[in-house]
Amino acid sequence: MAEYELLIDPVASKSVKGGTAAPAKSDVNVLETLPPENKEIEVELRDPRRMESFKVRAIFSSKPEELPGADILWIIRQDTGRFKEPWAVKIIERFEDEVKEVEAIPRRKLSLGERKGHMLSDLLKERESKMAEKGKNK
Amino acid sequence: MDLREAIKLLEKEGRLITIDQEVDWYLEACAITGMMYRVNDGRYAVLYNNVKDYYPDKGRLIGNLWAGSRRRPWERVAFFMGLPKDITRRQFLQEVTRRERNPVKPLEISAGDAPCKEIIKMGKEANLLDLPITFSHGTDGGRYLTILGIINQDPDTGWTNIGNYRWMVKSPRRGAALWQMGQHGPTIYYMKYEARGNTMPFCIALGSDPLFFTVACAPLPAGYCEYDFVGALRDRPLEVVRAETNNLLVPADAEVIIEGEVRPGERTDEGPFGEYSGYTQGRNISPIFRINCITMRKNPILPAHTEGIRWNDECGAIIGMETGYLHDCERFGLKRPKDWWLYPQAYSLSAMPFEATCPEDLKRLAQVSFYSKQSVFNGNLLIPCDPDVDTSDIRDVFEQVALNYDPRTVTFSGQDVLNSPLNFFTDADSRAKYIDGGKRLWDATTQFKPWSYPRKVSFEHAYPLEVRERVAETWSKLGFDQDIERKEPEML
Repeated sequence: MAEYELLIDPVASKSVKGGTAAPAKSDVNVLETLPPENKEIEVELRDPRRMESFKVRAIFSSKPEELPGADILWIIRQDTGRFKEPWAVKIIERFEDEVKEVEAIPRRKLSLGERKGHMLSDLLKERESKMAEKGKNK
Repeated sequence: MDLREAIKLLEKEGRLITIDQEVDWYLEACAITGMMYRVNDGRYAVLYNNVKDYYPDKGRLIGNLWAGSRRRPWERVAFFMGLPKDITRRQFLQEVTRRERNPVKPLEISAGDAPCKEIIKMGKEANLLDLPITFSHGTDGGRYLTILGIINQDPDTGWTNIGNYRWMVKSPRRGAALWQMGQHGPTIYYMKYEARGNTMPFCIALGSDPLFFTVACAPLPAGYCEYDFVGALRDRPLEVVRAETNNLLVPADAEVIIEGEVRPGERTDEGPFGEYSGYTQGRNISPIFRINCITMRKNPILPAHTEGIRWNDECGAIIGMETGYLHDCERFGLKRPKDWWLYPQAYSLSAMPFEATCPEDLKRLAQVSFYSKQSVFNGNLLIPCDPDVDTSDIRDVFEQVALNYDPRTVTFSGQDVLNSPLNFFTDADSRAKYIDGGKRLWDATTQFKPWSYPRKVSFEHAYPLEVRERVAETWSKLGFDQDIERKEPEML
């Protein structure tokens, strides 16, 4: 029987920072109160062995005997801490991290001359822009 | 110098404790690091060679690398800058300012020459949980990186920004950050990527030159590349290399580089985390940082920093903020204070010796500091003292408050100042939206007051110099154990 943790936070911020477009795909699963019992919901759980979070579709119960074959769930409230008695959770589906196929961008080896040149050209550009600015101010 | 050279130097100086027995990344390492500071006043950095689940070659941890002592919090940063051990605070601040004004561009090198590319893990091979990232406090929401540089780039100007934002490991290839609009990195993302529906590439650098972290925390102006400031502080260019999967430049000597992308509109929750403000802050909403690649040195060394009440590695971060305040004073026409103290054991408090040139200068000081960039995360209570006061000791500052503060009138309050997610007051939504903040100035100076202060009575004020000198001379002959304690104006 595996053990999982569920964090609930009655005082969590619900504001989306940034103030730009509303998020199209939200993965926010902060529960402010206890999860509804005997009802499938999507929520984020934590594996206490690795402290890894993952999203699941699961059923919860405060009475483990009423959810046979379920795993152990420890509920942790942000303000008051871990519940003394565990709940039960039956995971219907676990959503794994997306793996994106990526390739390294091909790069050619920089010669020593190029390396120094890079720095010198940057410094030169900066000096020129400073001189131009000084000229403008005059 | 890179992180490994810095550790060797500390060892040579007798300032390193190496622990070879197994220590758990879950709580234990950070608890030991925090206690090590409390017991030794920042004297020793601590290297953990045997981290549970990661021994022998998956990674090590270093704690208290940046931590100076309570009275000399700048000493470790000064050490990494190659400055004399006995450098005074004022000399140190002058040197930081001198170097800051002479930026040094980074030097790009090839991938084959970059230590951070010794191991490359792409796609599904990249796994954050393969790194010994610590779980710091029992109340945290997850494992956290808190000494890091998140690197992103303005797509319009090419300006590369490096910032230190707490970063939570959610799963093998997902993370979240305290990613607040108004700070440079997040503002670039929200305004120039997300608002246009674009994905933002990013990199996270862990464990480069120790000064890299100091600079990542410095409130530099928009458009100023942090790499130039790192070069300035170390007095030679920082070697950088292109990332594997995007075109960002990263420190070549870093222990670990995490590469990834932030897609527009995606959100996840972040936190809670026990912060330097002394409280565990609740959850926030963050974009999702998706990981595509991790490159690293063999058996990398990660910072194991313990945030919270009391002094710690934050000593490496506050230098940039303090100099930021000093620059702002100068920029807005005030006489530059000789010093500016943020107290890491009480970060919301700051004090400085301040010389007003006219009665209005105090109000200007309040305006400059209440609305400056660096003030969002610190300095809620500002205490200017007379110019001859040594503000390095918080007890002396409160002595000045007790002596000089007039509770009737001379208090300035900040109106509509930005709130911060790290404040303990107001609800979480107000903190996230930056509204309903507050700051206050307690005037502990005696200059330009409409009343005259009675003459002070202390050793320095009540006795003529010749008497003070005579006492100092005969003190040891009188057979007392303790040394005489004097605070003559010329010694401050």
